[in-house]
Amino acid sequence: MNEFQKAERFLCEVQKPARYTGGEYGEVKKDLSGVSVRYAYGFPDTYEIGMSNLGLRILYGLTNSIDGVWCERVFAPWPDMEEKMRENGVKLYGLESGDAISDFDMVSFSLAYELCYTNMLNMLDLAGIPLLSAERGEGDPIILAGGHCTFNPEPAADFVDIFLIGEGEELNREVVELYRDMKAAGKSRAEFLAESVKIPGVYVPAFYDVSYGEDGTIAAVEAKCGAPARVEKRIIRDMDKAYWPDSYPIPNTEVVHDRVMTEVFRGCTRGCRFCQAGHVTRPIREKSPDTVVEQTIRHLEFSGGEEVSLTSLSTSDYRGLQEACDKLIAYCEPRSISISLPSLRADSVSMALLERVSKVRKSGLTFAPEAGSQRLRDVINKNLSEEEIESACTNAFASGWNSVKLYFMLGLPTETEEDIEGIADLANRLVFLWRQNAQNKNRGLKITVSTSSFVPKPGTPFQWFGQNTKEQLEAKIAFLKEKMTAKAVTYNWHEPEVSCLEGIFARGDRRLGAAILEAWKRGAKFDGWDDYFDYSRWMDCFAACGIDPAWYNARQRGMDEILPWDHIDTGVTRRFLARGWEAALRGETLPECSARCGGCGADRLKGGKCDA
Amino acid sequence: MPEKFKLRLEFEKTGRIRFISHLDLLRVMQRLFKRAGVPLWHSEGFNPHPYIAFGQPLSLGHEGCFEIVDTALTEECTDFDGLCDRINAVAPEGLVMHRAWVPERPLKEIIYADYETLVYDATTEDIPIMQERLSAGSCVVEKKSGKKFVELDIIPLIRSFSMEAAEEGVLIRSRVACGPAKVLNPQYVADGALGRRGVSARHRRMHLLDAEENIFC
Ligand code: SF4
Repeated sequence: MNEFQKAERFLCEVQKPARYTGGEYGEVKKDLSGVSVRYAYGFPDTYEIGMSNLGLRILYGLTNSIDGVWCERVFAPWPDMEEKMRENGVKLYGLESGDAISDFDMVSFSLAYELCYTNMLNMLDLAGIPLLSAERGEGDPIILAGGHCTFNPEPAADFVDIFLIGEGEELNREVVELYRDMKAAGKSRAEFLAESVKIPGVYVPAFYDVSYGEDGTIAAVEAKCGAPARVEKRIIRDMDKAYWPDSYPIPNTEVVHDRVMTEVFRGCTRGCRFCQAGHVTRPIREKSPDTVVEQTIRHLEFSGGEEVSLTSLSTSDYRGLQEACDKLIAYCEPRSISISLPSLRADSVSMALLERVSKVRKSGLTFAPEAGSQRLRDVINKNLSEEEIESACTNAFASGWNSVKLYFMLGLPTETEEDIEGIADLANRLVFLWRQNAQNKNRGLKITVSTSSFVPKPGTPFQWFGQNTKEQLEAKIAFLKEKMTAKAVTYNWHEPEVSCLEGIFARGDRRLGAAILEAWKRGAKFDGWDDYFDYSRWMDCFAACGIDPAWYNARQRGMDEILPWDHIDTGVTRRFLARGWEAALRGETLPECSARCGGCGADRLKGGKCDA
Repeated sequence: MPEKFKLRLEFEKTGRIRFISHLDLLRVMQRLFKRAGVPLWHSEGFNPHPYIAFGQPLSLGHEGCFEIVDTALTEECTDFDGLCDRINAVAPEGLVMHRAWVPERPLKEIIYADYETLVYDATTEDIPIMQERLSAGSCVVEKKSGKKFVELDIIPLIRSFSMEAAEEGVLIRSRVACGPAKVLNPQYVADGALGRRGVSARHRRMHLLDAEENIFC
């Protein structure tokens, strides 16, 4: 009996058991006689979230396209399932085969955000795999990790054997093929690890010695065993030639996003200074409209999907948007397939396009000014002016829209009370504009203002900034709450505790591994979920490990300090980031790449010019 | 409105896919028909939807060997086997179309179902007492109703049953109510036979039957 067969006995007793069965259309099954490497693609969150992830669709297909390799999926079981598994001695299994992943060759984790570390540990434990890299030996799977968190991999350094830095379409294949070939040649785990660092983009944390100065900051990071001093992120140079799967598992049960997703470009030209994705995914590389259309139709036909979304960090900036949409509308309209365009700017061209692709009711308009004053928007280089918002809203209200959502961040560098008041002022002005322009006032107006707390991220011009404390952020929320007086305006805010914890790990070093392990031992899991997040438990764990969390999140770093992630090269130079920080303090904006190259350095990865 | 051509399909839902809910099955079917290029008829109106109706909902975790689903097409189907093949080529594991035809009888004529229930929690020695309980004048089980449990006498809902020893426990074959007016979940047959609730068992619906106890089609 394999693990799944043992689990079948109790699956009816857990919530939504379809998450734990596999068997979907599009899942890949292989005959074991032709398989020499068994690989588990681990997603440290629920099935519903993982199955909505475009990265999984691509890398699952990619890994299974490698000869002799069988890639299965594994997600974090919800605590009711975990309890049953532990009670009945069922180990974490791959959904495709139902076999325990502890017997696999490689297990990878997609680390999308900082709060999934404890889920990774819990999954390793449920699998019966030693949690610490140093404790794994011959016969244990190689633990890999990729995803956005790996632009500062250090907090997870104790647990991961190999970090894959950057985009996976080529990198993952090279690493898995190397493993397959070395395994066939009878090489050991240690030999494989030593050889793997010759592949650009591979970071083996055990091959780096970190020493600290008296003030606790890093004194030196030294590479050994032939590992490169700096690991350069991998990118796909030509998106039209990148791997794109023909198929992927179509969930049998409801997940967060079940739609076809096609990326139109990678990178971002905007340069918002708070945005990690906009920096670490540079340089910008576009797919041609024909590729976008072909890939989309391929997935629509395969999946029978009724909705497609064209994704990127800022879809309005895609130069082929009009052409791609024209061609897709021609395909989708007769088949009643809807097209959605998230991350669209509220300019007139985009609005006109939105009207064409979506036949939905005119209800919601979304803006992310991020900061409440022009001054602060200049500091963060958010290129969205009050006039743009006001003119977009005036038009929208006049043509029948009646609800607006506004997103802001609190705790940005140089923020004052006036900037925060500016949030309420903007909301009030929109109420006024609606009164002046709405044709039909009976339906009423609804303005929703949401604030989150700013978390300084590595690889951005704000990577040195001391994050606001929980108390400061709470005071700012209370202040803004007072100012929100208009009846039509609803104010929602995220509690700062989660952001404070994120802030610790985002810029943490390897010494935080002890706290992650301690927190997991004390029951931390699903930290990204309100029901399970326990801030005080985390604070107790830091104290128990002799770690001062404020030193990690609230401390303004020196401009010449060695940062824990300095040996990870995103392509964007530290010099460019430092210039950005200084310019921010002066309130100077940086033009977007399409107007003038800001010299961030990322074009080097592409071997020449950006597609901006 | 385009003309509506009714279609009935007999299918099985076995293996791992038995863990999807009835609502999920509805979504999966819809997606499946679309993938297979079945020309589904859609209702008119603001939110057009296809017509898909099942003989009787199958409980989550139960397998069904000869289930019934009705749908409607915009054109007449001439090649029923070809249609099934097309659907099966793009179906998730465990969902298999056996045959299709134009329905003549309404689904509400389904009155009974045959089940095979493998009771893990019992052995051959338990069979006599299990038989006795199910043959008594009444056999009251605790039936889940929302968050509470209510009492239910299952005897009037059982048409017939038999038992035999099996490798992993005891196999109960039962013919129970499964119609518009009365339904019995075979889990309560297992619970009633062992005299407690929450018995560990695996259920497989073998057939749907009409009032005369002929296989419904
Ligand atoms: S190299 Fe220049 S154009 Fe390219 S991403 Fe950097 S700033 Fe933009």
